[in-house]
Amino acid sequence: MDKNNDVKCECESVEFNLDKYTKKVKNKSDFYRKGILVLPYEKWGSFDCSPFMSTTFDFVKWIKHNTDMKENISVLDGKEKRIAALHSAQIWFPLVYLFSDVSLPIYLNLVANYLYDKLRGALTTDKYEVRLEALIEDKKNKITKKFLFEGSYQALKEISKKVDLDKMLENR
Amino acid sequence: MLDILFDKKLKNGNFIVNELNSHVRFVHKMQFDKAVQSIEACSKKVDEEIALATDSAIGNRRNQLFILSVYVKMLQEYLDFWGKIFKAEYPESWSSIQNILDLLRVLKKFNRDHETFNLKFIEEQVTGFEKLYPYKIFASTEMILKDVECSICGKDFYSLECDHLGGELYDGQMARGIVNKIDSVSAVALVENPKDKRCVMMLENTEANFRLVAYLPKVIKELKISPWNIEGVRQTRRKKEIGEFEIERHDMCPCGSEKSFGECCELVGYVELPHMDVIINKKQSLEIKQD
Repeated sequence: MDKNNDVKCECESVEFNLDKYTKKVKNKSDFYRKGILVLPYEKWGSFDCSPFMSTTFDFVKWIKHNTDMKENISVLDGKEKRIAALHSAQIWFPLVYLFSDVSLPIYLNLVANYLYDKLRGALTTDKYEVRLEALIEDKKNKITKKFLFEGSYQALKEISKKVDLDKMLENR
Repeated sequence: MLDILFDKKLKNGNFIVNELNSHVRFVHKMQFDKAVQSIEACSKKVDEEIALATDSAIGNRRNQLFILSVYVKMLQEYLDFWGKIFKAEYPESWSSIQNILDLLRVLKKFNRDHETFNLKFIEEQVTGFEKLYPYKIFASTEMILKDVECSICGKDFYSLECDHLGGELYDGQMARGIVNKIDSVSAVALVENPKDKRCVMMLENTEANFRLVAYLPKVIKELKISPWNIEGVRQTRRKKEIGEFEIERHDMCPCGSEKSFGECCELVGYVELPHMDVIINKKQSLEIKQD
């Protein structure tokens, strides 16, 4: 774990079974077993439901409008959907499952480009914090790794540029 | 986007530019009632232009006019802010500041030229004024939403059925989510960096609470300047002699370091206090001119 200037960037192997997770969503829509799968959080705060963060659909729509990943992103969406709204200036990205055909650097690049576009109107004094969590399929070793980032938009850009994320994942 | 004002196809373009410049001159002369009248005249003419832009082939023009209406609204809020400042309604003026900043965010997002229309100037000035207020901690809600519809198509905003992106413009309207039902509210957290800074614990309008804000009308009257002459506020630190303070070694240091005086400023021989400088520029010209 790197913890610097209130930046949290960690990666670890986790127990995660995608089939079990998807079974919990009632009346779920169809989803691809490739690319990026957006998941509801299993639990959030003290709420007794599995919500999506409010950024979720805007982010997915933005990817579909602005990138060539249109066919590579789907949402595990159910009829009983709930949306968690936070009123802090933290931009909380959805929980995603990255199948092995999408790497973490590609995903982080999408996040950075989305933020660049969304924050075009940011004032010089605005401070935006970012939180993102990605579950990464490691097909070769048949395990799942979890990547978590919490920090400023600036720190996220630096991590995307400077840190060898593939190496970081290999070592965990 | 705002350069639509110089577009010859705009019926009221010259009128609006003239009224905007009259408003600048009235603020300079401290004639706020007349400045408000000029901006109201602009607002009416912008509404007329929006009503005229009915051809579906000119969706981009409607977006430009939407941004122009946001600009005029921002200037109305700006005048409203000064009205409250001169009436010493300091707690209420905080909301005006937040309204101005929200409208500036929209303008900055869609309008690349920040200089011609004084957006950069107003941003620097108003974000500087923000620092003069005593509000540092804000209330922030955490809730679960159930039914949110898109302001453009009416479909579920948080779904892929709706194709609209929040905050983007569609044929002269901004896409927003309209919350019809809140499922539950879990908490109201106290945070330093909220989404909406209007959620503050209101403080009584006393000299002690709003000393720094009250300095603004005072400096304008004493120096015989106008709001356009204030470029912004700079946070600095100012050295004070230790003798100016009645303080013991074990007391908290007055510099705000949260250390004891003996472990802090006593060691360097002076006390450094936070200080705000209001930056004045008497030669400021803010009239709108086409390049």
